[in-house]
Amino acid sequence: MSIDRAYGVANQGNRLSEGGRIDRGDAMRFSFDGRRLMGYRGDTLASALLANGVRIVGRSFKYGRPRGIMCAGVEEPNAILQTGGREQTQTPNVRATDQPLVDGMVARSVNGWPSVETDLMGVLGSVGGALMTPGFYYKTFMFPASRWETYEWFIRRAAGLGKSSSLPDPDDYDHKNHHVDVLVIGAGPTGIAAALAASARGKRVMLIDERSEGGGSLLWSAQSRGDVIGGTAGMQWVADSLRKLDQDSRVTRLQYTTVTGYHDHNFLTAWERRDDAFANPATMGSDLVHNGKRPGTRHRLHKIRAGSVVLATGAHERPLVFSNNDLPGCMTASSVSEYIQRYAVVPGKRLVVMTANDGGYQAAFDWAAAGRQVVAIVDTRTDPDGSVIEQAHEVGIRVLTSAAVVEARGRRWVTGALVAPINRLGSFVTGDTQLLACDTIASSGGWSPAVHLSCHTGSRPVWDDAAIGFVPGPTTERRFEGGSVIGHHGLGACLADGTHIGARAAADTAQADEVPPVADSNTREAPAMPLFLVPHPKPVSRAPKQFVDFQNDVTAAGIEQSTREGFESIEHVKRYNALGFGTDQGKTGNINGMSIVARALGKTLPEVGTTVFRPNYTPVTMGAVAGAHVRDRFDPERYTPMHEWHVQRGAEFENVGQWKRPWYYPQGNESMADAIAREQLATRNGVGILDASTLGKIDIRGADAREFLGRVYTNAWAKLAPGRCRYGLMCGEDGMIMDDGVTACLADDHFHMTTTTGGAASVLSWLELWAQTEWPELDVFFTSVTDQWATLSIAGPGSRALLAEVSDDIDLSPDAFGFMEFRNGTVAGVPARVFRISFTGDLSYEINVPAHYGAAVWQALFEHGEKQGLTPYGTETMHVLRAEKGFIIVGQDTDGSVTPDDLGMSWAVARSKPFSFIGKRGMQRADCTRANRKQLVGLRCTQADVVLPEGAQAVRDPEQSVPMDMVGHVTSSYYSAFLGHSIAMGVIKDGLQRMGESVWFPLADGRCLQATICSPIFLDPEGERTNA
Amino acid sequence: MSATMTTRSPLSGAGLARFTGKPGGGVVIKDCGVPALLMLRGDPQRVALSDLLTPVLGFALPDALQCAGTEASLARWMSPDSWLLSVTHDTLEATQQALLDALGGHGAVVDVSGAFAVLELSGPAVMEVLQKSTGYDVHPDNFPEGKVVSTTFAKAGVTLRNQGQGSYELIVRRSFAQYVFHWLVGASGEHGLRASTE
Repeated sequence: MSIDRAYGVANQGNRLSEGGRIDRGDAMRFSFDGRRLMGYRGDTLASALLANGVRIVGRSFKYGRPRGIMCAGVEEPNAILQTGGREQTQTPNVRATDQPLVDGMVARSVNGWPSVETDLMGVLGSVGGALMTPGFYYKTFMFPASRWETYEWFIRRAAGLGKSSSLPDPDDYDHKNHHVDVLVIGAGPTGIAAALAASARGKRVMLIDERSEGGGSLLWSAQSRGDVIGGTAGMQWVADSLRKLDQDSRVTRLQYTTVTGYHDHNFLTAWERRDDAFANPATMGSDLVHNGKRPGTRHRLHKIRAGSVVLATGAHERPLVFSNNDLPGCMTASSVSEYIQRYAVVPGKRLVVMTANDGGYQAAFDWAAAGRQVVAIVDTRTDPDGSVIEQAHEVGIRVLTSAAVVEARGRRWVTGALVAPINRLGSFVTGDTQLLACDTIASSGGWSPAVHLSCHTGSRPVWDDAAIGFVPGPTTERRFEGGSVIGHHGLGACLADGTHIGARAAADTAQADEVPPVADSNTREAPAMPLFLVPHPKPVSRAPKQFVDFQNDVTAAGIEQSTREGFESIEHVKRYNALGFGTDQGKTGNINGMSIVARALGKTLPEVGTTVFRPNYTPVTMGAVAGAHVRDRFDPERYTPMHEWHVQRGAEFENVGQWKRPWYYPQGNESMADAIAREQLATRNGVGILDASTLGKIDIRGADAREFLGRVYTNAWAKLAPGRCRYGLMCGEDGMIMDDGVTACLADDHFHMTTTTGGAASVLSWLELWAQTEWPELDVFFTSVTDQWATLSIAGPGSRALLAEVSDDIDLSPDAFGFMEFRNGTVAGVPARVFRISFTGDLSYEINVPAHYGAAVWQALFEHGEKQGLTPYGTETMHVLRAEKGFIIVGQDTDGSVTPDDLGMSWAVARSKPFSFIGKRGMQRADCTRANRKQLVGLRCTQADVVLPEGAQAVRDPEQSVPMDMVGHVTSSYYSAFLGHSIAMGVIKDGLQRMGESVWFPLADGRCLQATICSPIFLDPEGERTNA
Repeated sequence: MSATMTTRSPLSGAGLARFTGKPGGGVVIKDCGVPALLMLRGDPQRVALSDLLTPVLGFALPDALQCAGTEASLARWMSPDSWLLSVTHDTLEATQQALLDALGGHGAVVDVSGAFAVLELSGPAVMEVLQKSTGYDVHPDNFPEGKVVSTTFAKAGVTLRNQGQGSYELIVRRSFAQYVFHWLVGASGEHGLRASTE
């Protein structure tokens, strides 16, 4: 194979020539720390590394010690790697044991400076390790605070678990929703049995499993144990069962998907990795890309709402804690079996097994069957009598009982195991040690149920003596659990559990009547021994380091020391030591750590209790959390019917709520200021047009519509005649302005209300709230017509002439169609509502046409108006035009603390209305009527060409020393090309009584601007232009 | 109405043409153009709405989450006191007036033809795309033919109707139409998207 030659035929010396669930016909190239290696489809990155004899995959966080692959699943604490061959595809925090090998994958270790093989920190760690005590960060790096940045640089440099890409993520992510009757988590024997039982009842079932294929522990144990289920071989039963489930249209099955969060009301989130080796070879971590982008969805977040949840999450094997147990070559026993059985990889040459239960023996049997040497099985129990012991004798494996591996020997990896006899309880060494030469030490301390998900909704796990572990506690959710997660590890028990809880989860009745598949077994099991920390001839504080949490370098001695320092609560010990704080959430170390705390405090494990887990069970990519709500789909962009025209005209856009509104229309190389000056002058001197379609519009109809308006607006509506419009102010119950707009009376019982662009939805909700909950007796209905009408606002002295050209059925003469009136008619041949209202202070018409005619009418206006210099203007020019007239913008000139009186708009408050109105009582509060409130005024800068910065704080005495007395601030400020000077509005304490006085604005840049308080109406106070 | 003026579908600027005539397609999208829609509001607890309106409509207003009527005149339940009625352009004005007359001032009938875009989604992967877009349970068990729900779709509000035969009607506010279409292009990417004009 040419691929082999290119990669120098990396020989995969630890790979068996047959067996395993890998495809030897599909070789894959990958690299690790620059070494070019080979593996096969079906490998994980970890199995491929072990096949190639790679032993050191990283350096430890605190001490810089060499670390190797320890596990074969998500519980792995050491093999946390970086993948990605290009900057864009960099992925940190990849668990090699959980990452399928992908052709072209580039992987690197993340700890180790300058490299994992020659690590400077390792030297420092071994010399200065005594300084790195528990609470190290709290004690060492706390003071002085000014040095923190220095410390941080050092810590980041020396530690860290990889880096994120500095470039935008090129991949696609999305979300998918599911509603199911029964969600089964885990496709081991328990989960499969549960899914079969639930689907047999016709339910919508979802079966989710985190591994690349279903089967759970059967994947690595069924064959060597000779498991038979219902008369067929274990893995054949798995295949048959999964096929049956896949054929059921009501069953959804996901592999390589991790349920990471279990939220209230049986809402769960699951993280699917779709870029895996099996589905889509040219993807993750690989540089094989198409058009610079990897195809398809990389990760998908499933949001699942389940009637019932079946937890069949199994258990994680617990390694035993002994001296130097972090040397590469120390592994969990089940992972040794898994590498041999599933991947045909034997991680070493000579094995010593240490076990506190029968289960650990399988590693030795598998190792021996692979033709490699088993030095000894060291059983910590006294006189165990399980059938596995006989089996070991039959195959000629030496078994030492009442003994333990007290220390691993070796510099860079395991070269020997120091074995000593121990007492029945496993609390001390009873005799002399002997050294067994070996390169791998597999240990099994038992199985810790994977209770993580059960904790997410607030349920605390409870200790189970029989299981020697914490099992899921009581819950208010409709949740069922079975198999290893409740300490039932036997195959027969798992199948029975699964069948039972699957049926219960699917049915309302509590009883299941079907017979579970029978697992044939003639083994005799000996009881397991509750052993966590293996004794050493020396006391814990003097023995070589005994690691508990590998990711954070937490040792037994460190935990004991923290109890001596006075920490008793497991929650405190955990935080002080950073126990379980790694990305593995302490899946291998937590229970061991708690047992050491218990022993040090003279308590039992249930007395010490356990910490709980939060989402997420395993790290989830940020991309999956964001889903497809990114880039231009991050938030809806709302377009008006004329949007395309604005785009073609080269408009710059402004976000107003979710709307895209034209901000200004630059011509050629025009600056923004030039464009606004041009747009402003064209409108004031001729005619301009604004797309005002985004204004909120509400159709209000009913016999009591008029009465309703009188209650929600501060001003009076009783006498507004059909055909007339009125400006209204809307206040909250606190008397503060919340919205404003013009409302037209279409008929005695029919009104057309306009709101601010941003307030449209909240105003409609506000109206419905009052109509439905406070005044249900009023006969009035609201219909949003914001999207129904395109609103084209023409303004300027030329607007009447322009409208006359395109409308022949409306009498536009000033006497016939006055200011604040509206007419029905046609514009450009289209039925229109025309309002003669003005937000510019000039003669102005707002033409409303059904939205689907908007673009055409806009176009027609330009066909007629271009010769008159019709100029489109955007929101910025609109702001200048309205500010010249002192028209406020709610949310800019008000901020939720401004009453109509503060704006000098008492004329818009009809305090004598017979029924009250919203805000009336609030306005009467003492604070709203006191003197010295901030009031809206005009501000004229003494330098005509200087624009006061919006937000600038005003003072009355520029010579005052800081802190100065601030008396208000600028709310709106522009340069008016038409007036030839700058203008501003602001709120100033008692401003309405201080016309003509000066205020000063000391700025951050050192300038101190002076301004004169004046009327906010800078243009045409008599309204001659408006009424023209 | 003027025959000389051009009406424009809310999706006319969205670029549907890129997806027309594509072979296959797991998801098929159809722009239904400018609809003829009336928003009908009335309080059935205040007046006998059905008695008043059935003679005009020819059918009784549908109950919660249902639709009633014919293709030419179909009412969708929107809330306990509102229904969205689709009619034809030539009957719109007369229907509006007849309904207003029948209500006798106790309700509202508003022409909202310009306020909405109407799309149809179908194709073998249509359920996949719906599941990616809405948290509502769209499985036929829960969302059978004839059912109407107003829910969120990506980050927009829409009204969904199961039209039967694997086809779904999606009504969205006009200004959100291009966002929704853009979203659908993304969500359909892995299945292939085809624009249909039939």
